[in-house]
Amino acid sequence: VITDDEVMRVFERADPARREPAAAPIDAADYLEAVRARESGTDVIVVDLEPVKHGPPSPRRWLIAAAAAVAVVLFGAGVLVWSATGEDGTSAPAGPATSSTALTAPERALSLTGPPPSSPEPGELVAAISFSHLSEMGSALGWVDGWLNVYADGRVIAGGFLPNQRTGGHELSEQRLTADGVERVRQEFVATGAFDGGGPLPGDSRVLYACQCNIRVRDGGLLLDTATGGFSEPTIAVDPELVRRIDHLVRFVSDLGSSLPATAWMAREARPYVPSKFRVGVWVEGAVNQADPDLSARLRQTLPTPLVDRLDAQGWVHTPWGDSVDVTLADAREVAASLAQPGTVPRSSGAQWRLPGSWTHLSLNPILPDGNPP
Amino acid sequence: MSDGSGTASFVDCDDDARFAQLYRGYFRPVHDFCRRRLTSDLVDDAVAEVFATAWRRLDSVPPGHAALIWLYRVAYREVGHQWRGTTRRRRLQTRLSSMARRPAGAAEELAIDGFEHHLVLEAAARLGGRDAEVLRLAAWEELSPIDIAATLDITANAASQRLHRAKRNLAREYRRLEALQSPSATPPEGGVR
Repeated sequence: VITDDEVMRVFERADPARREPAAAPIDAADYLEAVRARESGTDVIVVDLEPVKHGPPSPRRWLIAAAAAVAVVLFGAGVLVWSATGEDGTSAPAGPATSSTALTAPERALSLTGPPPSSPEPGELVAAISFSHLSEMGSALGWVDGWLNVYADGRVIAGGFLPNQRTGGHELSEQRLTADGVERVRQEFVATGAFDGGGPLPGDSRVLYACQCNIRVRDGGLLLDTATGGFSEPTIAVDPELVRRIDHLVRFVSDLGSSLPATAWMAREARPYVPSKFRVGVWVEGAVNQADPDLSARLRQTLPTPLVDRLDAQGWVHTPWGDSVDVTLADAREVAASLAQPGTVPRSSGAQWRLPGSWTHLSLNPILPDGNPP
Repeated sequence: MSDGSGTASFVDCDDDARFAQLYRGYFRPVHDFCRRRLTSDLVDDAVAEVFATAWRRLDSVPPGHAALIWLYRVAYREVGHQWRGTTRRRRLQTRLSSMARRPAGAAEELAIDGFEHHLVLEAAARLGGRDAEVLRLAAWEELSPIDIAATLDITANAASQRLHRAKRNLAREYRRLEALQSPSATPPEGGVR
Protein backbone atom coordinates (compact mmCIF):
# COMPACT_ATOMS: atom_id res chain seq x y z
CA VAL A 1 0.00 0.00 0.00
CA ILE A 2 1.38 3.37 -0.98
CA THR A 3 2.11 5.56 2.02
CA ASP A 4 1.05 9.16 2.60
CA ASP A 5 4.60 10.40 1.96
CA GLU A 6 4.88 8.41 -1.26
CA VAL A 7 1.64 9.90 -2.53
CA MET A 8 2.98 13.36 -1.72
CA ARG A 9 6.11 12.63 -3.76
CA VAL A 10 3.95 11.52 -6.68
CA PHE A 11 2.05 14.78 -6.31
CA GLU A 12 5.32 16.73 -6.37
CA ARG A 13 6.32 15.00 -9.61
CA ALA A 14 2.89 15.70 -11.12
CA ASP A 15 3.66 19.44 -11.10
CA PRO A 16 2.24 20.70 -14.42
CA ALA A 17 4.96 23.33 -14.64
CA ARG A 18 7.62 20.60 -14.65
CA ARG A 19 6.14 19.14 -17.80
CA GLU A 20 6.09 22.47 -19.55
CA PRO A 21 9.04 23.88 -21.43
CA ALA A 22 10.61 26.76 -19.53
CA ALA A 23 8.67 29.98 -19.97
CA ALA A 24 10.37 32.11 -22.57
CA PRO A 25 12.12 34.95 -20.77
CA ILE A 26 11.07 38.38 -21.89
CA ASP A 27 13.25 41.41 -21.63
CA ALA A 28 12.34 43.34 -18.46
CA ALA A 29 12.30 46.68 -20.24
CA ASP A 30 9.97 45.35 -22.90
CA TYR A 31 7.76 43.87 -20.24
CA LEU A 32 7.57 47.13 -18.32
CA GLU A 33 6.74 48.91 -21.55
CA ALA A 34 3.90 46.45 -22.07
CA VAL A 35 2.69 46.85 -18.48
CA ARG A 36 2.64 50.61 -18.86
CA ALA A 37 0.79 50.30 -22.12
CA ARG A 38 -1.66 47.99 -20.42
CA GLU A 39 -2.13 50.56 -17.68
CA SER A 40 -3.03 53.11 -20.31
CA GLY A 41 -5.84 50.85 -21.43
CA THR A 42 -4.35 49.29 -24.53
CA ASP A 43 -4.52 45.65 -23.53
CA VAL A 44 -3.76 44.63 -27.05
CA ILE A 45 -0.07 45.34 -26.66
CA VAL A 46 0.33 42.74 -23.97
CA VAL A 47 -0.31 39.97 -26.47
CA ASP A 48 2.65 41.29 -28.38
CA LEU A 49 5.11 40.07 -25.75
CA GLU A 50 7.90 38.18 -27.41
CA PRO A 51 10.91 36.15 -26.27
CA VAL A 52 13.92 38.11 -25.12
CA LYS A 53 15.12 40.80 -27.48
CA HIS A 54 18.03 42.91 -26.39
CA GLY A 55 18.30 46.55 -27.24
CA PRO A 56 15.70 49.28 -27.10
CA PRO A 57 12.17 48.45 -28.24
CA SER A 58 12.07 48.68 -31.97
CA PRO A 59 9.52 50.75 -33.88
CA ARG A 60 8.36 47.49 -35.40
CA ARG A 61 6.90 46.52 -32.02
CA TRP A 62 4.54 49.45 -32.23
CA LEU A 63 3.68 48.59 -35.80
CA ILE A 64 2.82 45.09 -34.66
CA ALA A 65 0.81 46.50 -31.79
CA ALA A 66 -1.00 48.84 -34.13
CA ALA A 67 -1.67 45.96 -36.52
CA ALA A 68 -2.97 43.90 -33.61
CA ALA A 69 -5.24 46.76 -32.57
CA VAL A 70 -6.56 47.05 -36.11
CA ALA A 71 -7.08 43.29 -36.20
CA VAL A 72 -9.08 43.47 -32.98
CA VAL A 73 -11.20 46.28 -34.37
CA LEU A 74 -11.76 44.37 -37.59
CA PHE A 75 -12.57 41.28 -35.59
CA GLY A 76 -15.11 43.24 -33.57
CA ALA A 77 -16.59 44.62 -36.75
CA GLY A 78 -16.63 41.10 -38.17
CA VAL A 79 -18.50 39.86 -35.16
CA LEU A 80 -21.06 42.58 -35.54
CA VAL A 81 -21.46 41.94 -39.26
CA TRP A 82 -21.62 38.21 -38.69
CA SER A 83 -24.15 38.60 -35.92
CA ALA A 84 -26.40 40.65 -38.15
CA THR A 85 -26.21 38.18 -41.00
CA GLY A 86 -27.98 34.87 -41.13
CA GLU A 87 -26.38 31.65 -42.36
CA ASP A 88 -27.92 32.16 -45.74
CA GLY A 89 -26.31 35.57 -46.01
CA THR A 90 -29.48 37.55 -45.46
CA SER A 91 -29.57 40.33 -42.96
CA ALA A 92 -31.23 39.73 -39.65
CA PRO A 93 -34.27 41.85 -38.85
CA ALA A 94 -33.29 45.29 -37.72
CA GLY A 95 -33.50 45.95 -34.02
CA PRO A 96 -35.29 48.82 -32.34
CA ALA A 97 -34.42 52.23 -33.63
CA THR A 98 -32.47 53.13 -30.49
CA SER A 99 -29.14 54.73 -31.34
CA SER A 100 -26.20 53.00 -29.69
CA THR A 101 -24.08 56.13 -30.04
CA ALA A 102 -26.25 57.89 -27.48
CA LEU A 103 -25.46 55.37 -24.77
CA THR A 104 -22.59 55.67 -22.33
CA ALA A 105 -20.50 52.59 -21.53
CA PRO A 106 -22.33 51.88 -18.25
CA GLU A 107 -25.65 52.29 -20.03
CA ARG A 108 -24.62 49.78 -22.67
CA ALA A 109 -23.27 47.32 -20.13
CA LEU A 110 -26.01 47.65 -17.55
CA SER A 111 -29.14 48.83 -19.33
CA LEU A 112 -29.39 51.59 -16.76
CA THR A 113 -31.69 53.41 -19.12
CA GLY A 114 -34.41 52.16 -21.40
CA PRO A 115 -37.83 50.64 -20.94
CA PRO A 116 -39.24 49.82 -17.49
CA PRO A 117 -37.59 46.96 -15.60
CA SER A 118 -38.37 43.44 -16.70
CA SER A 119 -41.17 41.77 -14.80
CA PRO A 120 -41.86 39.75 -12.83
CA GLU A 121 -38.73 40.40 -10.79
CA PRO A 122 -38.06 36.79 -9.74
CA GLY A 123 -37.99 33.88 -12.17
CA GLU A 124 -37.17 30.18 -12.05
CA LEU A 125 -34.13 29.29 -14.11
CA VAL A 126 -34.74 26.43 -16.53
CA ALA A 127 -31.60 26.44 -18.64
CA ALA A 128 -28.45 28.53 -18.85
CA ILE A 129 -25.26 28.53 -20.83
CA SER A 130 -22.19 30.73 -20.89
CA PHE A 131 -19.63 30.09 -23.55
CA SER A 132 -16.53 31.27 -25.29
CA HIS A 133 -16.71 29.59 -28.64
CA LEU A 134 -14.49 29.40 -31.67
CA SER A 135 -16.69 30.27 -34.64
CA GLU A 136 -16.24 30.76 -38.33
CA MET A 137 -17.11 34.23 -39.56
CA GLY A 138 -16.92 34.12 -43.32
CA SER A 139 -13.34 33.14 -44.05
CA ALA A 140 -12.16 34.20 -40.61
CA LEU A 141 -12.11 32.35 -37.34
CA GLY A 142 -12.92 34.22 -34.17
CA TRP A 143 -13.90 33.83 -30.54
CA VAL A 144 -17.43 34.61 -29.55
CA ASP A 145 -18.39 35.07 -25.90
CA GLY A 146 -21.96 34.93 -24.78
CA TRP A 147 -24.42 33.74 -22.21
CA LEU A 148 -28.13 32.99 -22.25
CA ASN A 149 -30.64 32.18 -19.52
CA VAL A 150 -34.11 30.75 -20.06
CA TYR A 151 -36.75 31.11 -17.35
CA ALA A 152 -39.91 29.14 -16.68
CA ASP A 153 -42.05 32.22 -17.39
CA GLY A 154 -40.68 32.27 -20.95
CA ARG A 155 -38.08 35.00 -20.59
CA VAL A 156 -34.87 34.54 -22.53
CA ILE A 157 -32.22 36.90 -21.19
CA ALA A 158 -28.91 37.02 -22.98
CA GLY A 159 -25.64 38.91 -23.04
CA GLY A 160 -22.64 38.92 -25.29
CA PHE A 161 -22.23 40.06 -28.84
CA LEU A 162 -25.61 39.17 -30.29
CA PRO A 163 -27.91 41.32 -28.15
CA ASN A 164 -25.61 44.29 -28.51
CA GLN A 165 -26.45 44.46 -32.17
CA ARG A 166 -30.15 43.87 -31.81
CA THR A 167 -31.03 46.06 -28.87
CA GLY A 168 -29.67 49.37 -29.99
CA GLY A 169 -26.37 48.96 -28.22
CA HIS A 170 -27.61 47.51 -24.94
CA GLU A 171 -25.57 44.48 -23.94
CA LEU A 172 -28.44 42.66 -22.27
CA SER A 173 -31.49 41.49 -24.20
CA GLU A 174 -34.86 39.97 -23.40
CA GLN A 175 -37.17 37.83 -25.53
CA ARG A 176 -40.17 35.69 -24.57
CA LEU A 177 -40.87 32.06 -25.38
CA THR A 178 -44.08 30.13 -25.07
CA ALA A 179 -44.22 27.27 -22.58
CA ASP A 180 -43.61 24.91 -25.50
CA GLY A 181 -40.62 26.98 -26.56
CA VAL A 182 -39.14 26.78 -23.07
CA GLU A 183 -39.49 23.01 -23.12
CA ARG A 184 -37.86 22.77 -26.55
CA VAL A 185 -34.85 24.70 -25.30
CA ARG A 186 -34.65 22.61 -22.16
CA GLN A 187 -34.66 19.42 -24.22
CA GLU A 188 -31.76 20.73 -26.32
CA PHE A 189 -29.72 21.22 -23.15
CA VAL A 190 -30.57 17.77 -21.81
CA ALA A 191 -29.72 16.19 -25.18
CA THR A 192 -26.07 17.23 -24.88
CA GLY A 193 -25.57 14.30 -22.53
CA ALA A 194 -23.49 16.54 -20.30
CA PHE A 195 -25.49 15.38 -17.32
CA ASP A 196 -25.60 11.68 -18.06
CA GLY A 197 -23.74 10.45 -15.03
CA GLY A 198 -20.30 10.58 -16.61
CA GLY A 199 -18.90 12.52 -13.69
CA PRO A 200 -19.74 13.88 -10.30
CA LEU A 201 -22.15 16.78 -10.08
CA PRO A 202 -21.57 19.58 -9.50
CA GLY A 203 -18.13 19.77 -10.99
CA ASP A 204 -18.15 17.86 -14.25
CA SER A 205 -15.07 19.39 -15.81
CA ARG A 206 -15.64 17.63 -19.13
CA VAL A 207 -17.90 20.40 -20.31
CA LEU A 208 -15.62 23.24 -19.30
CA TYR A 209 -12.72 21.70 -21.14
CA ALA A 210 -14.83 20.67 -24.11
CA CYS A 211 -16.01 24.14 -25.00
CA GLN A 212 -15.08 26.60 -22.25
CA CYS A 213 -18.77 26.41 -21.37
CA ASN A 214 -20.80 26.27 -18.26
CA ILE A 215 -24.19 24.66 -18.72
CA ARG A 216 -27.11 24.39 -16.33
CA VAL A 217 -30.46 22.77 -16.87
CA ARG A 218 -33.44 21.96 -14.70
CA ASP A 219 -34.28 18.29 -14.89
CA GLY A 220 -36.29 16.14 -12.53
CA GLY A 221 -36.80 19.05 -10.17
CA LEU A 222 -33.05 19.74 -9.84
CA LEU A 223 -30.93 22.43 -11.42
CA LEU A 224 -27.94 20.47 -12.73
CA ASP A 225 -24.73 22.41 -13.15
CA THR A 226 -21.47 21.63 -14.93
CA ALA A 227 -19.54 24.33 -13.11
CA THR A 228 -16.18 23.18 -11.85
CA GLY A 229 -15.48 23.77 -8.22
CA GLY A 230 -11.73 24.26 -7.98
CA PHE A 231 -8.58 25.25 -9.78
CA SER A 232 -7.46 21.76 -10.69
CA GLU A 233 -6.20 20.72 -14.07
CA PRO A 234 -8.44 18.52 -16.18
CA THR A 235 -7.94 14.85 -15.61
CA ILE A 236 -10.92 13.65 -17.57
CA ALA A 237 -10.57 12.99 -21.28
CA VAL A 238 -13.03 14.94 -23.38
CA ASP A 239 -15.40 12.81 -25.37
CA PRO A 240 -15.42 14.02 -29.03
CA GLU A 241 -19.11 13.19 -29.27
CA LEU A 242 -19.81 15.40 -26.25
CA VAL A 243 -17.86 18.20 -27.91
CA ARG A 244 -19.94 17.79 -31.06
CA ARG A 245 -23.22 17.91 -29.14
CA ILE A 246 -22.16 20.96 -27.17
CA ASP A 247 -21.01 22.68 -30.36
CA HIS A 248 -24.50 22.05 -31.67
CA LEU A 249 -26.04 23.55 -28.52
CA VAL A 250 -23.87 26.67 -28.80
CA ARG A 251 -24.95 27.16 -32.42
CA PHE A 252 -28.55 26.56 -31.37
CA VAL A 253 -28.55 29.22 -28.66
CA SER A 254 -26.37 31.66 -30.62
CA ASP A 255 -29.27 32.38 -32.92
CA LEU A 256 -32.25 31.17 -30.96
CA GLY A 257 -34.58 33.29 -33.08
CA SER A 258 -33.81 31.13 -36.12
CA SER A 259 -33.34 27.88 -34.22
CA LEU A 260 -36.94 27.84 -33.00
CA PRO A 261 -40.12 28.12 -35.07
CA ALA A 262 -42.26 31.22 -34.84
CA THR A 263 -44.83 29.28 -32.81
CA ALA A 264 -42.30 28.86 -30.00
CA TRP A 265 -42.17 32.62 -29.45
CA MET A 266 -44.37 35.07 -27.64
CA ALA A 267 -41.96 37.92 -28.39
CA ARG A 268 -39.19 37.00 -30.78
CA GLU A 269 -37.77 40.48 -31.24
CA ALA A 270 -35.15 41.31 -28.67
CA ARG A 271 -35.61 44.33 -26.42
CA PRO A 272 -33.14 45.68 -23.88
CA TYR A 273 -33.29 43.77 -20.63
CA VAL A 274 -33.56 46.21 -17.76
CA PRO A 275 -32.87 44.58 -14.39
CA SER A 276 -34.79 45.50 -11.27
CA LYS A 277 -31.74 45.06 -9.07
CA PHE A 278 -27.98 45.40 -9.31
CA ARG A 279 -25.11 44.15 -7.22
CA VAL A 280 -22.56 46.70 -6.11
CA GLY A 281 -19.12 45.15 -5.57
CA VAL A 282 -16.22 46.94 -3.88
CA TRP A 283 -12.69 45.59 -3.49
CA VAL A 284 -9.16 46.83 -2.90
CA GLU A 285 -6.75 45.92 -5.64
CA GLY A 286 -3.61 44.09 -4.57
CA ALA A 287 -4.63 43.76 -0.93
CA VAL A 288 -4.37 40.47 0.91
CA ASN A 289 -7.87 40.95 2.18
CA GLN A 290 -9.70 42.77 -0.56
CA ALA A 291 -12.57 43.90 1.62
CA ASP A 292 -12.12 47.61 2.33
CA PRO A 293 -11.95 48.18 6.12
CA ASP A 294 -13.01 51.81 5.60
CA LEU A 295 -15.77 50.96 3.17
CA SER A 296 -18.43 53.47 4.16
CA ALA A 297 -15.97 56.30 4.66
CA ARG A 298 -14.34 55.55 1.32
CA LEU A 299 -17.65 55.57 -0.51
CA ARG A 300 -18.76 58.81 1.15
CA GLN A 301 -15.81 60.55 -0.49
CA THR A 302 -17.32 59.82 -3.89
CA LEU A 303 -21.02 59.01 -3.51
CA PRO A 304 -23.73 61.17 -1.89
CA THR A 305 -24.13 60.44 1.80
CA PRO A 306 -27.86 59.50 1.57
CA LEU A 307 -26.96 56.98 -1.15
CA VAL A 308 -24.18 55.42 0.96
CA ASP A 309 -26.61 55.28 3.89
CA ARG A 310 -29.04 53.33 1.74
CA LEU A 311 -26.28 50.93 0.62
CA ASP A 312 -25.20 50.41 4.23
CA ALA A 313 -28.80 49.81 5.27
CA GLN A 314 -29.04 46.94 2.78
CA GLY A 315 -26.27 45.11 4.66
CA TRP A 316 -22.93 44.54 2.94
CA VAL A 317 -21.76 40.98 2.42
CA HIS A 318 -18.07 40.77 3.33
CA THR A 319 -15.70 38.22 1.77
CA PRO A 320 -11.92 38.08 1.39
CA TRP A 321 -12.47 39.12 -2.22
CA GLY A 322 -14.41 42.24 -1.41
CA ASP A 323 -17.79 43.55 -0.28
CA SER A 324 -21.10 43.47 -2.08
CA VAL A 325 -24.64 44.68 -1.64
CA ASP A 326 -27.75 44.46 -3.84
CA VAL A 327 -29.46 47.73 -4.77
CA THR A 328 -32.46 48.93 -6.72
CA LEU A 329 -32.32 50.15 -10.30
CA ALA A 330 -32.78 53.72 -9.07
CA ASP A 331 -29.83 53.44 -6.68
CA ALA A 332 -27.70 51.77 -9.36
CA ARG A 333 -28.44 54.68 -11.67
CA GLU A 334 -27.43 57.11 -8.94
CA VAL A 335 -24.21 55.18 -8.27
CA ALA A 336 -23.29 55.26 -11.96
CA ALA A 337 -24.16 58.94 -12.27
CA SER A 338 -22.12 59.80 -9.18
CA LEU A 339 -19.09 58.01 -10.58
CA ALA A 340 -19.12 60.06 -13.77
CA GLN A 341 -16.79 62.63 -12.25
CA PRO A 342 -13.16 63.71 -12.62
CA GLY A 343 -10.67 61.50 -10.82
CA THR A 344 -12.75 58.36 -11.19
CA VAL A 345 -11.19 55.87 -13.55
CA PRO A 346 -13.71 53.89 -15.57
CA ARG A 347 -12.59 50.38 -16.44
CA SER A 348 -12.91 48.86 -19.88
CA SER A 349 -16.04 46.85 -19.14
CA GLY A 350 -18.07 50.00 -18.62
CA ALA A 351 -19.38 48.69 -15.32
CA GLN A 352 -16.27 49.13 -13.18
CA TRP A 353 -14.61 52.18 -11.77
CA ARG A 354 -11.54 52.92 -9.65
CA LEU A 355 -12.44 55.45 -7.01
CA PRO A 356 -10.51 58.73 -6.96
CA GLY A 357 -7.17 58.64 -5.18
CA SER A 358 -7.43 55.05 -4.02
CA TRP A 359 -6.94 51.45 -5.09
CA THR A 360 -10.57 50.70 -4.34
CA HIS A 361 -12.65 49.48 -7.26
CA LEU A 362 -16.42 49.51 -7.59
CA SER A 363 -18.44 47.41 -9.99
CA LEU A 364 -22.13 47.21 -10.85
CA ASN A 365 -23.60 43.95 -12.05
CA PRO A 366 -27.20 43.30 -13.04
CA ILE A 367 -29.12 40.80 -10.95
CA LEU A 368 -31.05 38.39 -13.15
CA PRO A 369 -34.47 36.96 -12.25
CA ASP A 370 -32.87 33.93 -10.58
CA GLY A 371 -31.18 36.28 -8.10
CA ASN A 372 -27.65 36.02 -9.46
CA PRO A 373 -25.50 38.18 -11.73
CA PRO A 374 -24.68 36.77 -15.19
CA MET B 1 20.29 48.75 -12.12
CA SER B 2 20.82 47.48 -15.62
CA ASP B 3 18.97 44.54 -17.00
CA GLY B 4 21.48 44.17 -19.75
CA SER B 5 19.21 45.57 -22.37
CA GLY B 6 21.09 48.81 -22.70
CA THR B 7 17.88 50.80 -22.56
CA ALA B 8 19.06 54.08 -21.12
CA SER B 9 15.66 55.47 -20.22
CA PHE B 10 14.94 52.27 -18.36
CA VAL B 11 18.00 52.19 -16.13
CA ASP B 12 17.73 55.85 -15.17
CA CYS B 13 14.55 55.38 -13.15
CA ASP B 14 14.61 53.87 -9.65
CA ASP B 15 11.12 52.47 -10.00
CA ASP B 16 11.99 50.92 -13.30
CA ALA B 17 15.08 49.32 -11.81
CA ARG B 18 13.11 48.01 -8.86
CA PHE B 19 10.51 46.56 -11.20
CA ALA B 20 13.22 45.00 -13.38
CA GLN B 21 14.70 43.37 -10.28
CA LEU B 22 11.34 41.94 -9.29
CA TYR B 23 10.58 40.85 -12.78
CA ARG B 24 13.89 39.17 -13.46
CA GLY B 25 13.94 37.47 -10.10
CA TYR B 26 10.38 36.28 -9.95
CA PHE B 27 8.89 36.05 -13.43
CA ARG B 28 9.56 32.33 -13.64
CA PRO B 29 8.10 31.37 -10.23
CA VAL B 30 5.05 33.58 -10.80
CA HIS B 31 4.59 32.12 -14.27
CA ASP B 32 4.87 28.59 -12.86
CA PHE B 33 2.44 29.47 -10.07
CA CYS B 34 -0.17 30.53 -12.63
CA ARG B 35 0.63 27.66 -14.97
CA ARG B 36 -0.09 25.19 -12.20
CA ARG B 37 -3.52 26.60 -11.53
CA LEU B 38 -4.83 27.93 -14.81
CA THR B 39 -5.41 26.58 -18.26
CA SER B 40 -2.51 27.51 -20.50
CA ASP B 41 -4.49 30.13 -22.43
CA LEU B 42 -5.04 32.17 -19.26
CA VAL B 43 -1.51 32.07 -17.89
CA ASP B 44 0.01 35.01 -19.76
CA ASP B 45 -2.88 37.31 -18.88
CA ALA B 46 -2.69 36.33 -15.23
CA VAL B 47 1.06 36.86 -15.05
CA ALA B 48 0.68 40.22 -16.75
CA GLU B 49 -1.95 41.22 -14.19
CA VAL B 50 0.30 40.20 -11.31
CA PHE B 51 3.20 42.27 -12.57
CA ALA B 52 0.92 45.14 -13.51
CA THR B 53 -0.30 45.14 -9.92
CA ALA B 54 3.31 44.99 -8.71
CA TRP B 55 4.12 47.99 -10.88
CA ARG B 56 1.17 49.97 -9.57
CA ARG B 57 1.84 49.01 -5.96
CA LEU B 58 5.62 49.03 -6.12
CA ASP B 59 5.85 50.87 -2.81
CA SER B 60 3.92 48.07 -1.12
CA VAL B 61 6.18 45.25 -2.33
CA PRO B 62 8.46 44.17 0.53
CA PRO B 63 12.16 43.53 -0.06
CA GLY B 64 13.89 40.18 -0.32
CA HIS B 65 12.15 36.82 -0.26
CA ALA B 66 9.00 38.43 1.10
CA ALA B 67 8.52 39.99 -2.33
CA LEU B 68 7.91 36.56 -3.84
CA ILE B 69 5.31 35.77 -1.19
CA TRP B 70 3.68 39.15 -1.92
CA LEU B 71 3.58 38.25 -5.61
CA TYR B 72 2.15 34.81 -4.80
CA ARG B 73 -0.60 36.47 -2.77
CA VAL B 74 -1.49 38.70 -5.70
CA ALA B 75 -1.28 35.73 -8.07
CA TYR B 76 -3.52 33.68 -5.81
CA ARG B 77 -6.19 36.39 -5.98
CA GLU B 78 -5.71 36.78 -9.71
CA VAL B 79 -6.15 33.06 -10.28
CA GLY B 80 -9.42 33.30 -8.39
CA HIS B 81 -10.54 36.21 -10.54
CA GLN B 82 -9.63 34.36 -13.71
CA TRP B 83 -11.72 31.37 -12.73
CA ARG B 84 -14.66 33.44 -11.69
CA GLY B 85 -14.76 35.23 -15.01
CA THR B 86 -17.11 33.06 -17.01
CA THR B 87 -17.26 35.21 -20.10
CA ARG B 88 -13.57 35.64 -20.66
CA ARG B 89 -12.23 35.08 -24.09
CA ARG B 90 -10.48 31.80 -24.03
CA ARG B 91 -8.56 29.85 -26.55
CA LEU B 92 -10.00 26.42 -27.12
CA GLN B 93 -7.29 25.25 -29.46
CA THR B 94 -4.57 25.95 -26.91
CA ARG B 95 -6.63 24.19 -24.29
CA LEU B 96 -7.09 21.08 -26.34
CA SER B 97 -3.53 20.97 -27.62
CA SER B 98 -2.17 21.32 -24.10
CA MET B 99 -4.35 18.43 -23.01
CA ALA B 100 -2.87 16.27 -25.75
CA ARG B 101 0.70 17.08 -24.74
CA ARG B 102 2.50 14.24 -23.02
CA PRO B 103 5.33 14.55 -20.52
CA ALA B 104 8.81 13.90 -21.80
CA GLY B 105 10.72 10.78 -20.80
CA ALA B 106 11.31 7.17 -21.68
CA ALA B 107 8.22 5.43 -22.98
CA GLU B 108 7.81 3.05 -20.08
CA GLU B 109 8.38 5.71 -17.44
CA LEU B 110 6.04 8.00 -19.28
CA ALA B 111 3.21 5.50 -19.11
CA ILE B 112 3.66 4.82 -15.39
CA ASP B 113 4.17 8.45 -14.45
CA GLY B 114 1.23 9.49 -16.61
CA PHE B 115 -1.04 7.05 -14.82
CA GLU B 116 0.18 8.01 -11.36
CA HIS B 117 -0.04 11.68 -12.19
CA HIS B 118 -3.54 11.22 -13.49
CA LEU B 119 -4.56 9.55 -10.25
CA VAL B 120 -2.88 11.99 -7.92
CA LEU B 121 -4.22 15.05 -9.74
CA GLU B 122 -7.67 13.53 -9.73
CA ALA B 123 -7.28 12.86 -6.00
CA ALA B 124 -6.18 16.46 -5.38
CA ALA B 125 -9.12 17.73 -7.41
CA ARG B 126 -11.45 15.96 -5.01
CA LEU B 127 -10.11 17.78 -1.97
CA GLY B 128 -11.55 21.04 -0.74
CA GLY B 129 -10.18 24.14 -2.46
CA ARG B 130 -8.07 25.31 0.50
CA ASP B 131 -6.68 21.81 1.15
CA ALA B 132 -5.63 21.44 -2.46
CA GLU B 133 -4.09 24.89 -2.39
CA VAL B 134 -1.85 24.22 0.61
CA LEU B 135 -0.70 21.03 -1.09
CA ARG B 136 0.21 22.93 -4.25
CA LEU B 137 2.02 25.62 -2.31
CA ALA B 138 3.97 23.02 -0.32
CA ALA B 139 4.74 20.58 -3.13
CA TRP B 140 5.06 22.80 -6.17
CA GLU B 141 6.04 26.23 -4.84
CA GLU B 142 8.03 24.50 -2.07
CA LEU B 143 6.84 27.01 0.53
CA SER B 144 7.23 26.56 4.27
CA PRO B 145 4.10 26.58 6.44
CA ILE B 146 4.97 30.16 7.44
CA ASP B 147 5.06 31.27 3.80
CA ILE B 148 1.93 29.28 3.01
CA ALA B 149 0.24 31.10 5.86
CA ALA B 150 1.37 34.46 4.48
CA THR B 151 0.16 33.60 1.00
CA LEU B 152 -3.27 32.46 2.13
CA ASP B 153 -3.59 35.02 4.92
CA ILE B 154 -4.02 32.40 7.63
CA THR B 155 -1.98 31.63 10.74
CA ALA B 156 1.12 29.46 10.53
CA ASN B 157 -0.48 27.01 12.90
CA ALA B 158 -3.54 26.76 10.70
CA ALA B 159 -1.32 26.26 7.65
CA SER B 160 0.55 23.41 9.35
CA GLN B 161 -2.63 21.71 10.43
CA ARG B 162 -4.20 22.14 7.04
CA LEU B 163 -1.14 20.75 5.30
CA HIS B 164 -1.04 17.71 7.55
CA ARG B 165 -4.73 17.06 6.95
CA ALA B 166 -4.43 17.65 3.22
CA LYS B 167 -1.56 15.17 2.86
CA ARG B 168 -3.56 12.55 4.70
CA ASN B 169 -6.69 13.20 2.64
CA LEU B 170 -4.75 13.23 -0.62
CA ALA B 171 -3.30 9.81 0.15
CA ARG B 172 -6.71 8.48 1.15
CA GLU B 173 -8.29 9.71 -2.10
CA TYR B 174 -5.36 8.39 -4.11
CA ARG B 175 -5.65 4.92 -2.60
CA ARG B 176 -9.39 4.95 -3.10
CA LEU B 177 -9.05 5.86 -6.79
CA GLU B 178 -6.28 3.30 -7.21
CA ALA B 179 -8.53 0.60 -5.75
CA LEU B 180 -11.22 1.51 -8.26
CA GLN B 181 -8.89 0.54 -11.10
CA SER B 182 -10.00 -2.95 -11.98
CA PRO B 183 -7.16 -5.36 -12.84
CA SER B 184 -9.11 -6.37 -15.91
CA ALA B 185 -9.73 -2.80 -16.99
CA THR B 186 -8.14 -1.43 -20.11
CA PRO B 187 -4.76 0.06 -19.15
CA PRO B 188 -4.10 3.71 -19.74
CA GLU B 189 -2.77 4.64 -23.11
CA GLY B 190 0.87 3.77 -23.58
CA GLY B 191 1.43 0.80 -21.29
CA VAL B 192 0.42 -1.14 -18.28
CA ARG B 193 0.95 -0.44 -14.66
